[in-house]
Amino acid sequence: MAKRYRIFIPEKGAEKLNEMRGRATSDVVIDEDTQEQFEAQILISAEAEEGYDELVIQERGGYLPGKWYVKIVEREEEDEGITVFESMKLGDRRGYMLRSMMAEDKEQEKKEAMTTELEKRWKQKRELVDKVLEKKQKD
Amino acid sequence: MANDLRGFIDSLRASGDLAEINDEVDWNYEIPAYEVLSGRFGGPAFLFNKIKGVPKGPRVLAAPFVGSFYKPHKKAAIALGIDPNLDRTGWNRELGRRMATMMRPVEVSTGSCKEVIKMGKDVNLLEFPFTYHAIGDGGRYIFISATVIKDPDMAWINTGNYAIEVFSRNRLVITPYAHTNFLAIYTNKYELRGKSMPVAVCIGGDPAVTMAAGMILPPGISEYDIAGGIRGTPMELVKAETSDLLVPANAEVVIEGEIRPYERLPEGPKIEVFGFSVGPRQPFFPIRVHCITHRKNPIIWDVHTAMGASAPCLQESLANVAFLGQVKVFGLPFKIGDALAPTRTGATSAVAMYKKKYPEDYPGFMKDVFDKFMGLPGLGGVFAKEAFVDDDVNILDMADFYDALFTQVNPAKDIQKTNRMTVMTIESSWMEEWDRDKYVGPGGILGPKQIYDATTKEEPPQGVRRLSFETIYPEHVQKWVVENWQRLGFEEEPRWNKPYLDAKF
Repeated sequence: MAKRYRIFIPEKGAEKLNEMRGRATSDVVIDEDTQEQFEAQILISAEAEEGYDELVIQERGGYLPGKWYVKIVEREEEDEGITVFESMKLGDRRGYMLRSMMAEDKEQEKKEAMTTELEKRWKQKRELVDKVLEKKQKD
Repeated sequence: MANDLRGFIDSLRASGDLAEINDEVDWNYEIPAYEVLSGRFGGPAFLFNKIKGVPKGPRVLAAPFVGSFYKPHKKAAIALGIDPNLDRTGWNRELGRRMATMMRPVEVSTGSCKEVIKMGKDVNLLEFPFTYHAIGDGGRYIFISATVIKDPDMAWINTGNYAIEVFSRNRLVITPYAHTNFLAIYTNKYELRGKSMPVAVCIGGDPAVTMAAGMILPPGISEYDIAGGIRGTPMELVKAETSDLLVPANAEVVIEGEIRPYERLPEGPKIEVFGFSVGPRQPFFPIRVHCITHRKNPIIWDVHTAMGASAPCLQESLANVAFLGQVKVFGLPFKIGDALAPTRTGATSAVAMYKKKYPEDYPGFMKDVFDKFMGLPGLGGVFAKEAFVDDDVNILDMADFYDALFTQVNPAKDIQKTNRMTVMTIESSWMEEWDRDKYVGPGGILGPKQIYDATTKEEPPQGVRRLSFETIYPEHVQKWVVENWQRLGFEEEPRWNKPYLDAKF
């Protein structure tokens, strides 16, 4: 059995559909069997063509009349890892919020000074030295 | 009986409020349809044992809180072991008393919610029979859960009940309202700092946790403490697998994940208590699901938001006491009792009862009270229409309420309108897109708000403010008529407002 998908379009849907027809566009598609939603590159057509499935187009207040078909060109999926959050004792910052945030800022500034700032100063120094050397050579 | 969802099911069975269905049913429309019909007559809850297309195991409890107009709390009372025959006033009084005795939860090493643990690629939300509620919905929805987050700066665990769209195998989209503590914590303390927020969506477990999660409470109060109070015993919590959030040890399913800063996915439309398919499709917060832990053969409970179904009944059972808790905390001069009837009158409307004083503290006092009410997110940020009546009006009696509304409101003075204030939703789902653009934004929904001041403006002669059975006869006469009513051959029970109006909390 052919699959059935659904997409949403904003108001003035006809304009949007005209933009979409005939060229691949990225949209959130709903699989009507499972109600799963996913982003995909899709092609929309008003004629049943090979490789196309049924499409329901929903806009504000109802469904767009007529028969529509969709081809899922490519499903966009992210490959992601699991995020495990570091444990923080409840109330770690209670009463010390400002102090701990200031300490964090200080740490950040220090890090900045030891990396970006030093690099910047070294570059400035280097430019000055180059200029002096250049001047000496000219003289 | 155990203080969890299975214990609740046993209690419903024992009280004759459960219908067990062994025929195969579909999560797509069929299960919610049963609930909507049951909501029409305060009918039973349903335990569906066989769900189409879902691997053997998960079952669905539908209509768990369906009640009636005068007893929306019936099944909530059964869940907490409170007498289900209490009237609304009795229920509010008992719930308020229990809420006032908050109890801190205890942490345990493990619990039944850890019987099955699935991580990473094994996670598949579509294995569970989350239901598709109504034609036109954007997707399947979880309308009943306890979603746990934590304030990163203090020992405040916040738990709430939000509409959550099941987007895909490993994504949920959560939709907290603008006035919620969830939004305050997430936007101010995670998103603006560029940090991801750990979140755990807990389904099932002790109904007391989910009930507390459904209350609008002032910032800093943990719903777990309230749940301990209303159950009368501390909640048992266990650490989540991917964060240090504490979740109910006896939950049926715990979905763990994170919300990343500035990430959004399209959500809606969906059915809501205040109207059909509310709102446009709009960007909301996606939960990237990393882990699901659950009991073996978990039971998913499902509620519907149609009139008379579980969601409005639960809201009505809880909202009055929770709102009035806020009224008490913030020192507003409202009667502590059944002073708000939010859902049956439309979820975005409220009726507040004002404890009138003569003379007023100063001219314009009432306006200041309204302004204060409006300034509190958990009160003013919720409703689009509010009516204030005297505290001797029984707001559960529509005739009484309309009498106040139509006789005490001077249209020239007593209707206040503001054009753009935070509200829970704009009521019309048929609003044009250009208007929605004007009102609906990432910070919440700004809508027009109306206040009707239906309180009496000055003390009438002999203090009789309105013509009713309770105000124009001495109490002993009222009592005599009521007591003799049935003896004189009248079958119908007389509705006497005196006990309701005298109730103090």
